[in-house]
Amino acid sequence: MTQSPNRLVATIFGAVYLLVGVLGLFVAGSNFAGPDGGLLLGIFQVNHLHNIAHLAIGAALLFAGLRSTPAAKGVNVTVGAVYLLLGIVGFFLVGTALNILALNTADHILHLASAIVLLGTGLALDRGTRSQHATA
Amino acid sequence: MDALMRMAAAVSALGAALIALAVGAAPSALASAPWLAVPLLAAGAGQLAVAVLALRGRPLAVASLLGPLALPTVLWVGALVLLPTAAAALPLGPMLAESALALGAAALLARPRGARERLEPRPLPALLTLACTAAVVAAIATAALAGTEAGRHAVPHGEHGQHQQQEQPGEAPQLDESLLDEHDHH
Repeated sequence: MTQSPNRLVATIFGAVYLLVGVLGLFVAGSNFAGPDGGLLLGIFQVNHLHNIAHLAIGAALLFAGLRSTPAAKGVNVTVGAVYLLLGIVGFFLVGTALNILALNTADHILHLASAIVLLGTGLALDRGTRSQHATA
Repeated sequence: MDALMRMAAAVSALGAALIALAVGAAPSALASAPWLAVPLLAAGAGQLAVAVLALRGRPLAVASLLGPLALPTVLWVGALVLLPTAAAALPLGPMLAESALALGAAALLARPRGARERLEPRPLPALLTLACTAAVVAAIATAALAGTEAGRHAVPHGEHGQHQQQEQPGEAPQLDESLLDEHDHH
């Protein structure tokens, strides 16, 4: 795993997002979905739907990171693209009833930073993975 | 080193693309010149494509880089000089951030590749570069997005539902003493 930056990033991000998802369950209170939520670490606003998304994304990243480099690469690019989309679309949803994930400004910064790292790692590193497997 | 700089430039282009798309996606805010939304959205999409291709290590012609990366700045400066009413519709902070990120990316990506340049950067320096540029670009892009029409409608963090918590149970509401005095006079 230490030979592949994609597996390393997927494993670390997966573990962190799983932890964030579990911690969020304790602060979300009775907010399941909607613009209101509890503050995680005093900054990030979450509700239970947001926590479920964190748990699902964390599990997918961790599983892929522990499995193989192509799997980690694929999940990194996919999750990165989804977070990038959420970063831009989420901004237009804040303050409306459509903000079902209780997104706030700190969430947007975290999502954009995660998107850049995941997408950048998936697209820029381990480029020879497929050809190595093909020739092996 | 060049491969790392290209990676940082690609991340910068990604941030610029987000801002261009956010500014262009609110034509109601560009009331005096709604047509500005079209080139801004096109430039944003182009900048996204440049960022993805640069991350994948594809060589890009200078002309194909400069088109999407410089278009919003050229448009903005051109409007400032020729059409001040149209320029006033563009938010200052987001356009400054977009121009800085896009032109910085263009300058780094337009440099000719060295013959000995590695196509793929080493893993550890690449991850450190990605983490640092991601933190900086995400902070700049989010601050800039907050200055767009969408951001102005955004509720700052921690303020959802506060109107319900302003009156704490068991606490007597504060009374305006001047009103009490006025009541005594009656």
